[in-house]
Amino acid sequence: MNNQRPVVLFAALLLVLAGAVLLSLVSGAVFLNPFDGSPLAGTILWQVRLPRIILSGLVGAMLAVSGAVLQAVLKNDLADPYILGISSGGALGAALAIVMSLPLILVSSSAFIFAFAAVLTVAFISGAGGRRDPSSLILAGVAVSSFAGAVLALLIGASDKLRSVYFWMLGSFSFAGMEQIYAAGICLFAGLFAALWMRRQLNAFLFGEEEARSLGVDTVSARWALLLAASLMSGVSVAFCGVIGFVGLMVPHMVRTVSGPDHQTLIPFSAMTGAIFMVLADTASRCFFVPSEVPVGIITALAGAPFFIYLLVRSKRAA
Amino acid sequence: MSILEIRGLSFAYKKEPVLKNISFSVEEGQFIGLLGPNGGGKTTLLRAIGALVFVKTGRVLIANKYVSAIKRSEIARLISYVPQLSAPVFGFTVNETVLMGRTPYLKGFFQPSKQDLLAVEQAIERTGLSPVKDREVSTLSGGQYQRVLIARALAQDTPLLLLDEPTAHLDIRFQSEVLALVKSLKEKTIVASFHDLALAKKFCDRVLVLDLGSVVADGEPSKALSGQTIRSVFGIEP
Repeated sequence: MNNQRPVVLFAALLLVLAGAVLLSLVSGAVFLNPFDGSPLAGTILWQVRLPRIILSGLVGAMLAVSGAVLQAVLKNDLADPYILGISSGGALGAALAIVMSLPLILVSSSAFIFAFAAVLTVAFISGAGGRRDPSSLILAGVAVSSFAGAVLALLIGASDKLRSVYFWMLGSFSFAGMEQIYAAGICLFAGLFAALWMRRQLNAFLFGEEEARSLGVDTVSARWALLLAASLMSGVSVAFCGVIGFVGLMVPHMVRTVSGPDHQTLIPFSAMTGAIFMVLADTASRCFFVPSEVPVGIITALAGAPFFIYLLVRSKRAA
Repeated sequence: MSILEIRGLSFAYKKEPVLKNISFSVEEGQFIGLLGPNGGGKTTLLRAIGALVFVKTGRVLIANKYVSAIKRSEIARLISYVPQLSAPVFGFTVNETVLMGRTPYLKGFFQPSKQDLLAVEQAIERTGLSPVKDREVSTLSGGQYQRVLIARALAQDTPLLLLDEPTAHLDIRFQSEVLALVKSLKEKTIVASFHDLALAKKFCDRVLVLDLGSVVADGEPSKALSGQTIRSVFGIEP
């Protein structure tokens, strides 16, 4: 690839992100002009809408990067935090901490730990090592996701506190605050750092376990580290914004068709595209049924589920 | 000096042993062929040498170092491996795929150095891939992709090169072409598995015949592949 091309693409993505943020700022229950100058408009723009936009961008980036990492490490095109039950695991972890009235940092830590436990379970059930059957990974994800979802439903039934945040489960950015923004920012930075630091290992994983090893990748420790990074990003996303599916599935695939499979470009471009996608999805969730809101997880599923079916059909044809 | 030494190596994936107490050593610069019927243990032996499987019984020494005691990236600077069945990864060019051979030399955020790029360029040249170096690998023929994998192993710049059935999926014309290329790598010690006795005879300095996980014949092709060995191991008349 031409050396200039990634730079141009990155600049283009930055521009689109800026446009999406602007669009999201002005739209909502009422159209607001950011240069209006009235104090009420200012409060809504900068204290209600902007934090929410920033958080949605951070979460979109985290989900997209963790999807890209999972697809390489598990060598499965259909991998996504939601499909593999990582999000449900994280939601259960967060809910448990919420029931115990723990502070935000412990809610996110608990979500992270449960998300990691979920991904380990899925990887273990579907058979660790190179001879993993692609569909068994998805089936294991369904099983883990259903189980975590069932326990979560029981918890919601038993706890009034959780019932009040039921809306959170379906994915929403309406709880955005500075605390969440800082925490999400740190986690995105950590996850991005890990994924970029290990981008060559991610590339080697695409050739399968055995070849990756022969290329000098310690596949066992690299897999642990990368799955931890993916769980951190998806678990924390769930803790703040609930279960938002298919972003980690769609975004890396879209990026790959433009800039190829090399993780040196795939990871940063997925982060940018994930942020753009999520800002737009959240804008849609605020605008479709004014004055009420649609959970953003429903918007992403509307786009993502058909995309998942398309990938499934394509992989069946290739086999 | 022997570059590779195997001592009392046994291995089983599950219960059934695939390799049974194998010992041999390889001199620098030799081209060794592994022969034997399917299930004889050829691929597993290559995997064990390259530490691609976890060896519990026996020792593998490369350049007088225990493979089990050194880091993965260091192993990959001593041993390169060309697998038998490898699907090209959609979207990478020849150049990008060969550059992956430099993985054990590159760390973290560092970009490939001049030396890395030179190694890649030389590997591509030696394997005759220069005209297609910017092509996407999924558009190549099987023989060309096999050469890409060999080029990747060359870029890895290791004294020992392992090849698993390098000719298995190739037309007759490409079989000789690929083996002549491998044979021309004089500075490397090569261990390759074969299913074709005639090809092994033509290209190898020495062959080891594996049957049911044991070495049953070892030596120059003309001696090791005696009529009796061929009859008893392969069940065919020589």
